[in-house]
Amino acid sequence: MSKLKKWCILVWMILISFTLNAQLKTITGVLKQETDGSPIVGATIRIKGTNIVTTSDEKGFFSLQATSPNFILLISSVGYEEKEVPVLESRAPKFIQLKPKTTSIEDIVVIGYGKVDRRKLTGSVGTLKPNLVGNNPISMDKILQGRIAGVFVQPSSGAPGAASSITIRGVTTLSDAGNAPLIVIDGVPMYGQDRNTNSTNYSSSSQPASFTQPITANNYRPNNQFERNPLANINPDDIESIEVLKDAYATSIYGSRGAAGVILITTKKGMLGKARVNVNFSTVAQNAFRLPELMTGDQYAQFYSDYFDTLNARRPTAGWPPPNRAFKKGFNTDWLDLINRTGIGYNLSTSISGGTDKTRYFISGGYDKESSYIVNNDFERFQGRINVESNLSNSIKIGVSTAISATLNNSLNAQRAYYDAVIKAPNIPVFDSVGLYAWRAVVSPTNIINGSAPLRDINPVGTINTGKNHVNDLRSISNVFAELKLASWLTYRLDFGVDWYNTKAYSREIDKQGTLRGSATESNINNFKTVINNLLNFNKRFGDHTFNGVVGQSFEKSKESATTITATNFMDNRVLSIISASNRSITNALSQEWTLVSFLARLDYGYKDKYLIGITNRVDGSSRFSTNNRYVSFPSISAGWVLSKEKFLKNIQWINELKLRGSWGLTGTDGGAGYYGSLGQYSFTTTGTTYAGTTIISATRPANPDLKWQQTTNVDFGLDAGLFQNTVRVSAEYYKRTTKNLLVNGGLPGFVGFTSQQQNIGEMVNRGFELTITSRNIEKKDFSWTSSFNIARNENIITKLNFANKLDASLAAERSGGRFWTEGGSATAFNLMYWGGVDAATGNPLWIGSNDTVSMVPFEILYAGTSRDYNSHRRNMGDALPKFFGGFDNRFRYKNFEFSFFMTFAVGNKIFNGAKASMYAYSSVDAPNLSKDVLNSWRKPGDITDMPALINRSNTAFTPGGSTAQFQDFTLGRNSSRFLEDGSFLRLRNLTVAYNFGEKLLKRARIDGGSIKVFAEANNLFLITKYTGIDPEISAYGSSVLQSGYDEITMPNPRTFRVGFKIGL
Amino acid sequence: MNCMKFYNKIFYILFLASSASSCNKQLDLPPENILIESQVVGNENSAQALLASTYFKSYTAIRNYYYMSGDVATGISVTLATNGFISLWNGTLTPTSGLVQTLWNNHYSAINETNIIINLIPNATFSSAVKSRLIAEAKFVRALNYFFLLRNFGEGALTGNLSGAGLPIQLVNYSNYDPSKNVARSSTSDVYNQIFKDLDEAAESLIDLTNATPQVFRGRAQKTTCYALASRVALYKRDYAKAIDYSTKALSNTTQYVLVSSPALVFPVTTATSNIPLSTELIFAFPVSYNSDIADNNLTGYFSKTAIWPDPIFLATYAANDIRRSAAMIVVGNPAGPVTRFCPSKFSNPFGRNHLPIIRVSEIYLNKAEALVRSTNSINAEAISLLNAIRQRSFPIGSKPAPFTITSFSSVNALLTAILQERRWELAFEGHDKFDKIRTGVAPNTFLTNPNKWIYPIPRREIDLTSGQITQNPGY
Repeated sequence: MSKLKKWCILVWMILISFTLNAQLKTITGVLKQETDGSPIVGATIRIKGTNIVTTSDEKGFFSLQATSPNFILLISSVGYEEKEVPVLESRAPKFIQLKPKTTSIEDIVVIGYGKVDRRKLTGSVGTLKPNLVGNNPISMDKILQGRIAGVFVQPSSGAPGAASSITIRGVTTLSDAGNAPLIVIDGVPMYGQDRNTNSTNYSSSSQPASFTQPITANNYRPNNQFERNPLANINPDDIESIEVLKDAYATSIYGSRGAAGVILITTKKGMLGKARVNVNFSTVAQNAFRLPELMTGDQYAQFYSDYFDTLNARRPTAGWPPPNRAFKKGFNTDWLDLINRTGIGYNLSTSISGGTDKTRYFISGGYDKESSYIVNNDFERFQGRINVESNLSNSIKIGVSTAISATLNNSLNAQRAYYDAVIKAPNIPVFDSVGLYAWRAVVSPTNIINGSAPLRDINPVGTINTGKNHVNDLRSISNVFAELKLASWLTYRLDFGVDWYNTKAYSREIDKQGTLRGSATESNINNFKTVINNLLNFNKRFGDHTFNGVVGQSFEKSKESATTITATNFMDNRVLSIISASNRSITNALSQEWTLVSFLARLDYGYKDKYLIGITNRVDGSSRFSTNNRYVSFPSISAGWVLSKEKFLKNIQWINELKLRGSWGLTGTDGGAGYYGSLGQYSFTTTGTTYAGTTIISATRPANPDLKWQQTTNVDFGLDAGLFQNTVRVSAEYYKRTTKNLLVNGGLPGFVGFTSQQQNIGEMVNRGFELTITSRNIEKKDFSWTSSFNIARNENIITKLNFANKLDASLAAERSGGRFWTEGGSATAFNLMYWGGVDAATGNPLWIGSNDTVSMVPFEILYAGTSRDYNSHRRNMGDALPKFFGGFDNRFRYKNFEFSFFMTFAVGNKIFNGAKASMYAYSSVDAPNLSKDVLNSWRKPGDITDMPALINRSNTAFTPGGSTAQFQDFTLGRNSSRFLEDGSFLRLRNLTVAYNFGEKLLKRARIDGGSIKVFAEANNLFLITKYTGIDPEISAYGSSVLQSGYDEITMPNPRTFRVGFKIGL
Repeated sequence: MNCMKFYNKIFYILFLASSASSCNKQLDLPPENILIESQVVGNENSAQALLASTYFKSYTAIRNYYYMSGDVATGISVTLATNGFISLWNGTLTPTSGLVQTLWNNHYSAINETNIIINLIPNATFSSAVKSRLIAEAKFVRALNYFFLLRNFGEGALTGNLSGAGLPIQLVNYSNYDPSKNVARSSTSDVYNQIFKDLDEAAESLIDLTNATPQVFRGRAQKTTCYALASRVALYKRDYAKAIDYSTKALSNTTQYVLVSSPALVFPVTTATSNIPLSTELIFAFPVSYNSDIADNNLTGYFSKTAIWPDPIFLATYAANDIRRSAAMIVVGNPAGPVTRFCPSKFSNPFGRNHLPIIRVSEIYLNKAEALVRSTNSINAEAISLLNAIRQRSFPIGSKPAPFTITSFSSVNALLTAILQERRWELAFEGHDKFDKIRTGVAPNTFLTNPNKWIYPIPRREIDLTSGQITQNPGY
């Protein structure tokens, strides 16, 4: 018997001898698992109605002293169903079998710096244990989609390895960087969603896509940028559970980083017992969900010839457009078809785990390949993990969880090729007369008169075949810990964690007209984060009073460095090294550090397990903030009442568990304020500008010593219930998150030297409810059906924006990548000019003003040169985020067959169909290919159509005059409601069929407890939506939730089919 | 049990080590590629870099509008009717126009940096000679920007109404925004006085160029530079005594600032992209070709002849042999451009690397000549000789016209007209004409007959953000 156990029993015996009389009788037994008979370790065995309790040892053995001969043993253990065993005249059964829980609801929930029994949880935590019938999605953000109420995951595009935005309970702040949740993997806060860090710019000359005023299609250019998904480095097969912390009780302990929610990832650990081997292999085929329908080459040529003829006839200026209108017929290149394919990918994952009473291990390795539906654009991942825990002695445990992954993302060109294939003129062959890629499209007359360089280089086939554009990540997220048991109720834990994240990106444009002799950009990013936690965990029961919690301290340090070099004028297309270019420059050389020092505590108190109180606090000090406001405290308090333990509910059979809970607390964010948010900053220019030979340092950010942490007050009320023998579990909650000191870029009068500054000038409210129902509908020997449903509603309102000049600030925000914010509106609202359709009499678009006045001329033109502002006619036309969203999962088992389907939905979200706007952009200088809808334009009075006359009073190509202003097409503006559509959808995300056939086979081979399963699954099989684009579940601006709701010919999510097998031995 | 003690020891050591690491000092971490204010002004090199930034910001501010608004406004140059800058001279600007806002913000952004130098450098620990030079140059740059702003926004600044609303004078560096410290517009007269004060103080601390000074220092303030700018400021203010005084001072250094023998030598045609020599006639110019910025001077439109070109009507006003309209100075430009259009050699570099001239010796000659005539209200002999100096060198040897004499002019006005006409020819394309017209009471063009429109509207944003403390110009 181990020393610890001896000691325990000694103490216990002393205690008992004080409190009880001498009529003691030793009861012993062995706990075994019902299915394979393996011992159950660490189960709690209690004599019902007393405090006599013990735990089972490594062999499942337990013994305790009973005071009376007749009693009931209450046995509980994590992962097993509770069991009551009656003991008559001190005769207990020798073996007691426990049944493993079949539902996904388990009792232990991981929370910040500890674990808690779900039945005693007073906060709001959503748990997901990835356990699909088929294969896990390739990255964990996709696993979360639709699974947990209140967690809204939106992928940016269908390109492999592209980022997603994850929003928990709505928008938290009005700056991009602050809306992503903190992600903590095995105690290590990892580098998460940060658009700037994760974006790779692959053209040194590219301007980021931005909104200008007026926003017309003519000047819309997509970003030459790829935002990779930092979560793609994690192997989903290694994940034991994902916990989403939502309310104050759960998030306040993450203090200054908790405001946008926290996601805790716990990886699999070794279990006691013989080595278990798991092998999964599957292969997947990926297709475009649907492709845009465009004009053929002949239709295109015909359309543009007619259009310019009409324009020529209508235009008063002689000689315009010029006669050179070479829209030739004869070639019909289907660019989309040429770059499209069925991408074949693979997934291989293996793991081995097991352990003895001393050491437990989990080792895994895997390889994934995702091939996009664009030719030559693939994503590969290699990963390995070792999780080991070892008891050095009875009181000391050490362990390590370490993972290494390498991702090679070769699909950075996918989005660009897809975009280019849509807009590229179809009347041009892929190759020109000398056999080189035809990079240039037709020479459009608008282009000539515009005096600008003829065209951009566009040739999607050339791009995918010649472009070298990849980003490679090497990442290790590891944690080493040691635990010292100071007393039976007190444990000290030391954690040392690392997130080591190396990225190298390279992109190359080959020698072509626009980039003579080629250009390249290469960047290296090196991020290194360490975290040290000192934690004292306690867990103590005094009679009816239970105390548990943690007191600790954490120190986190992050070092980030990046260099970017660009080069032009290469010797040869074949030589990739930048050293072979004659023109080289360093555009970025950055090295920075920040630290966070924190003190944290949590106390959970329970009286009779019925009345529960939780108190947490965290004090954070950050190097990013000024000394005056450096340390901030984030407290929370919560309470729970387990009604089901009250007498008045005890007799109601169908209510097994019922708990009411509520919490209040504070969380914060620096709103992505970045480094030295409070101090004035002086920077060098990226181009190395000098004046008269002296390097320039200029003031780039104004000081604001009063800058404070943005603070969110969270209130949450929840109800958790287990009904009908816990076959139905319901969780419902209402929350309200009130944010003050909202960090926003506020305007300054220019005479002070700066025009804007980050200030604490706003307030915002998020409120909503969440409902989750999981039920085991049917549970028979041969047939079972379980389902799980969740729905959430969030409403976001900016209650105060202390802008001195609201219009100016809203416009500035919109231009710099935010939105046209208004007080009383949502942070993701579409405030647009109201498009009133097409006037049947004249074919002109109708614009509806704020007081319902109708104008046939856009207000931008109407008010030009006056002091009136057309923006006063903007209206709130809806929200980019849904009113309701959620998921519905169903799982069936019939004998050896398994079947599951999973649907997700969103209701009430609007999406701006910028893809359509681009496919209507015949007035643009590039003469892009068009949607066939354009052929249905208004022609004669009386035509009822939503396509205005090609030449109308809203596209100023009609007005005579010179250069750029003439081609503004207000019908295509991103600030008009013309292309705003309902993006509500219902999607069949996954459908899986599986067959388990291994049992008999394995038994014959004398292997116990193994399984062999084959499965076939389809993802994204169908989509029900009113959206006229292809996929409403994308976002042209990457992980930015503030800019969500734009489809700018963004690659739709693919449809995939997968077959594979899983072997467990 | 021994073994356990050993482990325990290790634990306590680890615990202590990790706790000790979390002291407050760890929280003071500056990023490597960014400097904070105290770092910038505390070191000589970075302070120099900040001064360079004030010059560069002034250059950035003017290169966008200065030459367009000065020359196209009065028909010295022509551009397309759709040129984006057209509202700067056709009276359609509104208080919400992006152009005025940008112009206003850019100049004030430069002014803020000069304020940082002027107010914070005195406490720095490096050499006081360097500090005094930095502060003096910053004062010059501040004056320069206030002057550019004043002539564009100051009510009455060019029309002699010195009590009109000038500009908000901001002499403190930005440290934090406090709406209670918003300032109203000072009177035009106060702004002029502030400009003179800065220039006087700067001139006092600065020395002049020497033969050893690098070429490029014509892009930075010297003693003469301050006097030269003050000479124009005084002329605009109609303080002619001052104008004479400053002009005289500005012309006193006859070794470094010399009128060269022909205007063509000041603006040689070149395709060089770096280190183009600066003529001794340039008292102040933004030395574009010495800047390692890839950006051009924003005047390649002259070379390409598609965005801006000299008005043929204006060119026809030059005398037949005038060098300033000869092939040496009005060149072909981009051969691909329209053959009927030409390009001034002042901005003929195809890469836009010509220096941007701001003050030349010849201007000071003409400033002084005009001030002499106006202050004495006579046909002043010295004025005529100054005028002759400019006029005579503009013709090749052998075809020089007869020098003017007192008898050449029937009236004071005739002499003034000749001086102003010479100014127009001499300083064409250099952004002067619109202001010379306005200060002499002449509408720059037919769109601008309403004198209210001779100055720009104050950006509405400024008025809104100061809750009306900054007021709008009349007529907007």
